[in-house]
Amino acid sequence: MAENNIISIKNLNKYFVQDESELQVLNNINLDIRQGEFISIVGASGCGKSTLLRIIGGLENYSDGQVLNKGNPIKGPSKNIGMAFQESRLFPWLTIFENVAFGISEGKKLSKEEKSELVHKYLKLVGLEEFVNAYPNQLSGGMQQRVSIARALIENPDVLLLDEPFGALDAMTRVNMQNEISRIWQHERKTMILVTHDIDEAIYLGDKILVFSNRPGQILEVIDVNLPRPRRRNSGYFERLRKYIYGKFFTEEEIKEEYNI
Amino acid sequence: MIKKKIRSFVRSKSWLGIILPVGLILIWQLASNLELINASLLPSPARIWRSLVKQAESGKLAVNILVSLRRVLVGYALGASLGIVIGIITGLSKTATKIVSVLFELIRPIPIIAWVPVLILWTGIGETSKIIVIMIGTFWTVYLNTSDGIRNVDRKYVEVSKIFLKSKKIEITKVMFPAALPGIFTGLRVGVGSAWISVIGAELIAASAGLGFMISYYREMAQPSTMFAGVLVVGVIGFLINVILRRVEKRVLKWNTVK
Ligand SMILES: Nc1ncnc2c1ncn2[C@@H]1O[C@H](COP(=O)(O)OP(=O)(O)OP(=O)(O)O)[C@@H](O)[C@H]1O
Ligand SMILES: [Mg+2]
Repeated sequence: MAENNIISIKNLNKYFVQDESELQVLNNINLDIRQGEFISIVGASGCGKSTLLRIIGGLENYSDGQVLNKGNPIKGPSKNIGMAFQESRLFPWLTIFENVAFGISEGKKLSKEEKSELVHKYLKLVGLEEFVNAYPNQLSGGMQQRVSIARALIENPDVLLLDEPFGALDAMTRVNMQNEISRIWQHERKTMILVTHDIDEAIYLGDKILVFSNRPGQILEVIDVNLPRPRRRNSGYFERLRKYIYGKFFTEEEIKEEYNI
Repeated sequence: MIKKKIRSFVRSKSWLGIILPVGLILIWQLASNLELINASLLPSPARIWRSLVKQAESGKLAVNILVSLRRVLVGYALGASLGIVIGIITGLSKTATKIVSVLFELIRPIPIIAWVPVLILWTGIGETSKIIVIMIGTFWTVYLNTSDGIRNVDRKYVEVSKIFLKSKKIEITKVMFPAALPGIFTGLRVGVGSAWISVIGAELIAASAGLGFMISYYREMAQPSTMFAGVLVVGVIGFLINVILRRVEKRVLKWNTVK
């Protein structure tokens, strides 16, 4: 029933050429993602998470295997798949309004009013309506990330790729942003794929968590998160899951140390 | 409003820059009064000022300024446009860079002034030769800065354009060009300096009007104070052009100021 999967990856391998030698980054990835699912990806630095996301986004080609969007091979960026990068990547020379409007497809002929309405709708979604006329450097890092998410959502893609979008934020802002993403996901019913280093974040948001091995990245385990939403970060199940995933990366002692801090 | 401006001027310490020129003029005047300086080699500031006022009153000064400014304006506009267009093309295409590389590297080291006799030979002593000299003077700085600016645009921005499926036209005009604009502006600002140097240089060698002509004419007429008045005006106008361009740059690149 591969056709029911919005993203379907089969036997994907990816090599980069570095210093004239081949570096395998992804190793035999097999993955099916259903419409509306929230997928979290965790894994050590350099294991190929961003590369996988960039392949799904059509920004990177792949060495062998299949990557399908609704059954069609992904050959380049597409309107169905939006992306928010690790750094917000807003254009500093455009206002917030213009940055979000940049996400509107070029072929779409909108009147000024329609365009303005659309941009306002998505800025409202991320809670930044008052900042339409500001420039990115007048916003905080977290606000910039929200703008970048609004820009990625404005063409209403089926899939939203999030590459460590909150990596650079402090713990407080991060939690707020997670709540925001959770709200947007429930509101818009998009398929979301989130790469993160933060195991709590992965559990809090994901229907499924993919645990990656070190490079060459391989899916070690797919964990189903059977927690009702909205989730509580201090429930017993949450704790056990957190400990379990930590165990995938660290030995027992390291975990104890982590908890003692 | 004016009070506020004065206060911010005082606080910004910009006034510190005025001390040296004013002090120098005072010492110069004093030395002239004491006849420590040979007035036929370097007239006193007061003497130069009187000649300047005389030139201004006769209307000759305005004519010379306007003639020079007009040449600069035309030559600069042409040279800068050409620099931006060719800079964008070579910035985007490695092939284009390779095609022009040898030719450009051969021509570029030729000093602007060396072009003047050549161009007079080709186009005569009229306006064309001067405008082309200014064009060449402007072209190089604008071209090099534009080309570098476009080439060094952060790939991350270009990727954003790709992920939103933008056409090449939007990618260049809305992403790469603005991203390169700070560099391009540096080229434009330095370029206007070379344009001004070029016009005076060209006029010194062969012209019947303009500030460069004024300087060389009054040297021949053995009127050093008027000659120095010309030098002074050249300096002041060059200074003002730079100030104006900085203002424009600040306004256009408002987004580029770090928070
Ligand atoms: N364009 C490229 N050319 C060559 N090697 C690359 C390229 N992009 C990534 N790599 C290599 O691929 C590996 C995986 O990179 P990737 O960015 O996917 O890691 P990641 O899992 O996202 O890491 P992090 O968590 O630190 O962001 C790294 O070893 C990196 O050096
Ligand atoms: Mg990454």
